[in-house]
Amino acid sequence: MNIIICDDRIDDRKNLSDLLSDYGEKKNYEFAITEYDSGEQLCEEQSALEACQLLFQDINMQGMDGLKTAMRIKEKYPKLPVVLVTAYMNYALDGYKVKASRFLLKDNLADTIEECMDDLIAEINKNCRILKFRFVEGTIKLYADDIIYIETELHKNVFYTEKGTFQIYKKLDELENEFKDMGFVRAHLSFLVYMRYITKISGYVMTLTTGKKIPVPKARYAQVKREYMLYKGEE
Amino acid sequence: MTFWVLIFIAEMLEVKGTLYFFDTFMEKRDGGYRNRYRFFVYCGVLCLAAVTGVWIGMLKCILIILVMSFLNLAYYEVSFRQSFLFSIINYTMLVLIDYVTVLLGRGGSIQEKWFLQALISKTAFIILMLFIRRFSKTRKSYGLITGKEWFQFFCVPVFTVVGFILMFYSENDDMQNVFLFLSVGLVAINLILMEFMQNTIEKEERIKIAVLTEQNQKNRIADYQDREEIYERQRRKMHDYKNQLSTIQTLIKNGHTDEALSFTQKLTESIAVEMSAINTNHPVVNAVLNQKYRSMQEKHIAVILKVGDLQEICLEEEEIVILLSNLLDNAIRESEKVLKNTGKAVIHLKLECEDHKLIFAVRNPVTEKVEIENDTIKSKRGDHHGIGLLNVKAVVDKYGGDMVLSCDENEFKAVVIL
Repeated sequence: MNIIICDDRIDDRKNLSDLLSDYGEKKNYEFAITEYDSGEQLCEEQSALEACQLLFQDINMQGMDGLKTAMRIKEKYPKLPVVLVTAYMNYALDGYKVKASRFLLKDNLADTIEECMDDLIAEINKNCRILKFRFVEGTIKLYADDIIYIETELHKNVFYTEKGTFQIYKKLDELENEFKDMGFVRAHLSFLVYMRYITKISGYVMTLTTGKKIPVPKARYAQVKREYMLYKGEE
Repeated sequence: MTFWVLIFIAEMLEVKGTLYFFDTFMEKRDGGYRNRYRFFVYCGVLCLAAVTGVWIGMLKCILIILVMSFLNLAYYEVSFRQSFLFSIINYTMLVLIDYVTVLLGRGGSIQEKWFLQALISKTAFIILMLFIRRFSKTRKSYGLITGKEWFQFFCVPVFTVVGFILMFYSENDDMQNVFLFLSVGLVAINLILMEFMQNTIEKEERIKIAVLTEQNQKNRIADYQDREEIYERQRRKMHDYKNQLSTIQTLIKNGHTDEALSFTQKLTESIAVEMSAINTNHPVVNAVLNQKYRSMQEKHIAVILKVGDLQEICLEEEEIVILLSNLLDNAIRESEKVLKNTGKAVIHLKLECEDHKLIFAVRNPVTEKVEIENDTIKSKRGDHHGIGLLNVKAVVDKYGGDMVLSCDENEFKAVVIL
């Protein structure tokens, strides 16, 4: 796993890098950690950023500050998880504006890093897991978060994804099982929805970011709502 | 004479049910003296209205509704329009039940016994009122009575009606007397039970309010302590600054400008750390979060935060305190236990506004699985904990929001969306 640490203070970089290495050793992960001491320099390094899977960005830096750097990188690589690291709590709100995945405080890094990495790695694995399906259109590779929802139509199931629609001869129950614990919810006997794309559930109707409305049967409603709320709580 | 006594007894039953109905939908006015005799005032006035003015015929129902409406104005905090509406609904139900009872009893021996007929219909009326009360959402405190208790309360009136019916259809005079005796006894038990139920609810409600006040006071005290501590820390800092300034002076005097510069840099940074606080653009949320955050820091509980701009949330100050402190206190309490056992505890906290909805989620480690049923904790810690969450639920319900609790062997999750 490629990790970048961007911090202008060498002590802090070393501290974080050591903590990450310890964590990797403990959990048997291989980390390739690259350190940068300025935001400008990091923004130039396109190939490094493309290969990067996780970025730890210090906020308070000389020259281009961490928030600006993070914002610029997020514009180009919106899916790259960025963890803002700082000594000052006041920046928490700005971190939110940058859409940072996490916000860590330098004074309790040692306590929080393990928990944070557990979460992030689970999230990265979930999002980066490539799913291969034999569609009617041919074999296609998809990321879980490409899929918006799957709908049963006659004997086929149709994947509505960000890359287009694909049809597959497979039962929705089997698909539901395959996508277990990946953020999908069975909203209806013939609908499996990725919860990231839900904007609201009310009055027995689920609305998606695409504007699509899916009816949620009374018998499932409470359970669907519950799963969605727990998902929102962890997102 | 017997006739008048029987009329008054029937009227008493009717008033009992009527008052249950009104209490369900209208807020009672304060005043112990006035409320003490409320039941008898209603009985007396309605009895008078019932027996006088027979010559008006059908128009009498309007008279009775008007009398009820004016009486309500004296005893409830309502406008005349509301009072009039509820009086009409109440009266319509009364008449309907009377009518159904007469219809059912037609042809049987029941017809001649007007008093028994009245007893049946009035008891049925009270049962209906209890049902309305059970399923009405306007008075939340009835949620304090569990489904099983309601079932028990309903049992007695249902048996009473069964007793009456058996009496009407039994041919034997002796048996009829036995049933009559039983039924009248049951009616008395009904009334005692209802009184008891009312008391239980009022008592529970008082406890709930007391706990809420106590919690607010505790929060206020914690806030003062927090401020005092900051002040104390500041005093200590001022003392340090005196020493630090003299160090800088010495450094400059001796020509060590670089050292002096790096020393001042370190000082400014440490001040920034000292002054740092969680900022959500909402003063009350900030106050509660920072207070809890500092308490977590002191207890060496780590926090992973995800907070957003909460400028637009429109909860009352007190509600914010109830929501945040109850859930965070629970998380801190559990984390402390985990910390003792494992030496490590992390609380995840998410608090942000998304699409004009407030999402508040707390995740904390637990020492053992907490049993959860219908999104409430089956508490082992006594009522206090349960009431804390009940208060949270009350806030959530007020804004038509949702709350979900979940727990496995390692982690407890609470999510509130408003």
